[in-house]
Amino acid sequence: MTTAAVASPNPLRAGMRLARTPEPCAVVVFGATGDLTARKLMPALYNLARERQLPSGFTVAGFARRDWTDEQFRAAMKDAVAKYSRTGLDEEMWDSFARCLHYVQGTFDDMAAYEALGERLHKQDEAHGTAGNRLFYLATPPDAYAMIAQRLGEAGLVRGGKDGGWTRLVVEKPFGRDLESARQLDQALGVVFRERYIFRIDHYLGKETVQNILVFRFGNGIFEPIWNRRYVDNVQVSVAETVGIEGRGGYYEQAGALRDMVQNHLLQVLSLVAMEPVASFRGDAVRDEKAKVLHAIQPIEDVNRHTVRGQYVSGAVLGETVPGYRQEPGVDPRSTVETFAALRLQIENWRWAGVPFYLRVGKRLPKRATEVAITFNRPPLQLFREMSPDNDPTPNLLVLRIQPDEGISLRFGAKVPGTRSDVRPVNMDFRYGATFGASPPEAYERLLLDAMLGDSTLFTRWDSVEAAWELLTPVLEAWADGASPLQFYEAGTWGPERAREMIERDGREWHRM
Amino acid sequence: MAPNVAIERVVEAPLRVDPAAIEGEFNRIWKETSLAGYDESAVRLRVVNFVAVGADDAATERFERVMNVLPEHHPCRGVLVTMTAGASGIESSIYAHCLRVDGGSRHLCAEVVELRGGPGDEAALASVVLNLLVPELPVAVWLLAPFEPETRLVADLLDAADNVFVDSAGVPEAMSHLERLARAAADHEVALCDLAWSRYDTWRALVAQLFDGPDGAQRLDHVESISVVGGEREASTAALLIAGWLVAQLELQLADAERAGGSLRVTLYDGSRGVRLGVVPDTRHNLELASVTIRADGVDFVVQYHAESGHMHVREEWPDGPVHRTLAPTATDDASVFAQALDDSSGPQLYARALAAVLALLR
Repeated sequence: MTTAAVASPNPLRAGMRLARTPEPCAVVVFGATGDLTARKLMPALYNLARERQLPSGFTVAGFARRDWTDEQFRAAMKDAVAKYSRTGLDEEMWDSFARCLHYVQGTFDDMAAYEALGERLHKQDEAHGTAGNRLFYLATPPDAYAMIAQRLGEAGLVRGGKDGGWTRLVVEKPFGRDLESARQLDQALGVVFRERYIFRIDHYLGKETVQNILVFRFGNGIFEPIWNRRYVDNVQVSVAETVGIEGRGGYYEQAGALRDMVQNHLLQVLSLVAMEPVASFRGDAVRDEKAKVLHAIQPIEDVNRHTVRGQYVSGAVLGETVPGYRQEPGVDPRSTVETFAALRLQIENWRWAGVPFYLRVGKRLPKRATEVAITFNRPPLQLFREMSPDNDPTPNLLVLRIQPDEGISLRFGAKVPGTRSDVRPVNMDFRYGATFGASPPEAYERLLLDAMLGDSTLFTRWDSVEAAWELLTPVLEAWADGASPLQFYEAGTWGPERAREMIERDGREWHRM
Repeated sequence: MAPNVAIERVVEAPLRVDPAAIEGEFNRIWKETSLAGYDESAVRLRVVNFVAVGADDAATERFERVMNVLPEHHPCRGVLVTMTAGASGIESSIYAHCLRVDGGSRHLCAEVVELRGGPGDEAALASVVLNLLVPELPVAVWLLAPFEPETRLVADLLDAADNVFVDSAGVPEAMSHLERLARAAADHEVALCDLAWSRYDTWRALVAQLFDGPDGAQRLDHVESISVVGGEREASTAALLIAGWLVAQLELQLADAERAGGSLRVTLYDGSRGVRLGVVPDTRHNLELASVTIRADGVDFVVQYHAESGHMHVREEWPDGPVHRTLAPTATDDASVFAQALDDSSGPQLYARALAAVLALLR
């Protein structure tokens, strides 16, 4: 995967396995009192410190509107780490880590607060040796991104410390809500930060099993030769969730499944599955190839035929009765926002021409699973047709399970022992938990570390974001005009009937998760 | 997701020493595991052959402690060979461990054979062990006693091994023993790994981390002194190896050395100036490794184990005040160390450089 991005001149690092410690730096979290900071960012930073992967010169400055002191911020973060850290809380280690935490109170448009932040960071450079390096993390609502970037520029904070240093900006999804708004946001950030210093985070790319897609494809000799239109019948990327919108009605009403999941997570996974090999993991090689895939996806011209949108109504999930989407708090009782989306895509390039890629995402489905399923062509001569179940030999299927039961399985036909020549499909299974045992780091640990290291491989570049919106904005517009009308599905089922019809028209079926 | 893993011993049986019978028995265990009331077939996992050679019950206990945990990270075929002076004839027993993931499916993750024999059984034991190795998997050999590399069993295992593990902590005349083993490992083209070295990976990472950043390498050009504290009555192997690592990585040349009272005091030369090195026992807590201090540009950079709290302390003593961090300790039990060391392909080269530097200092 990614190798050490920064060549260390430190001779004591030579030959050492853990060579990925960032330079000294200060992480500035905007939205420091919010849910993302408590649930993900602070536990991730604490675990990185615990794993000794942070530099000795390191601080965190929290920035938010609440009138907190350093001590109040530290106390809140301690509670968050105790509650959400995968490793729990070590009191003595926390006391040491907490000394790095500071808080600056201010609203996102308050220039004086940015000046106060600058002063605070200069002091931290001197007291903690953070060397003028800054990582600005926007854990805020997206409508604040442009304002924060603008103020950082006006306050001179993107020039690093008094003696220089690097500055980088990390932004969360969603990056815009359509092509136009994404372009506006990109222009606003681009006034202050050059593209190479903007890190658009997609936490799916921080997952071990997503990263393993590249290892699986390019680290083994046996898969890549058959990873193309000659051998692959179709590819399915599915994200099934059992949960509903978990109290985020306000957000979800503005987003929907296509913006919330397909535009980022699913298309990023698809691009990793479909991209061409890279010559190395240096620089932008992986992101170049991913962007090429997204640009090669044909626009969806027949939205009625090749897209399905659905919304769950009341039903039962995991043995419990759950309300319909329209009954959720914060949701318009007449809402037409989709909680399920299915798409049929076509990548028009040498490798994939003619191979359909099906994407499927939904809430309140029967089980939680994220999988990539690659169905291979049947053998050219059906020698064992009559010995197979229903006289229909089951094609080979390779499933990359991303969550929750991370692993890989390969389905193939085998002879049933006995005097007859019956053939039955069997699964060969590889499970991460069983083979490697050790608990993997959280996605945010990996991504925060990479951002501090300046390694942008696992972050989304603007051209990929733009390509994704170019593909999906016409779908959103067509849906708004009534194309592919909203279908209702009972919570606890696999989505609307039309999703099944869409794939069955091609003579295929959804992979059973 | 952290797997909920439980390891349980499923079968134990004495066997006559016949590799084919042993393989047959493992196949039977695998089949039984699949049928033992579980709705999924059991998966048979093996990523390494893990062979240990010991000479007493203590070695057996140590090996079994490792086998109780190691398969969680490295599912394996484990073979223990115990050679005791009074034994006559070879005996064997086998057992297996299953790993249960998230309370669901079972995986046969450790197949263990224990072989016992006397000094006259070396050739026979070696032939059985070699027969039991799973093909196409790496072979890690753990020498649990200071065996002579020239003996038949060890020589045969060195031929088959990819890595040979020893633990020089507490071994009398450890350095001369290591020197001979290192020579033998080089002759057999095997990577030599020392648990006394691997146990302190974290220390080396923390020391290196103090010199990351734009000014770090410059500071290392101005090292004035190095102090390593560890050992009971004399400087421990761990302390010596840390010192050797620093000398090798900083490319310091030996000018003068003196051994007195269990300590080693050396004057080194970095091309332009002298560097003092002291490796002394820990008279306070008798720790194998208590602290590493590097003084550069008038600043002390310290990594220290705090015996009372059990935490690591990392400190930089700057003129305008200290920068101090407390870190959780790492596990240093054999199984945890193996879990790391078996995946560390660069470790043996680094170790070889450090060992060579220590041997040069001691000469």
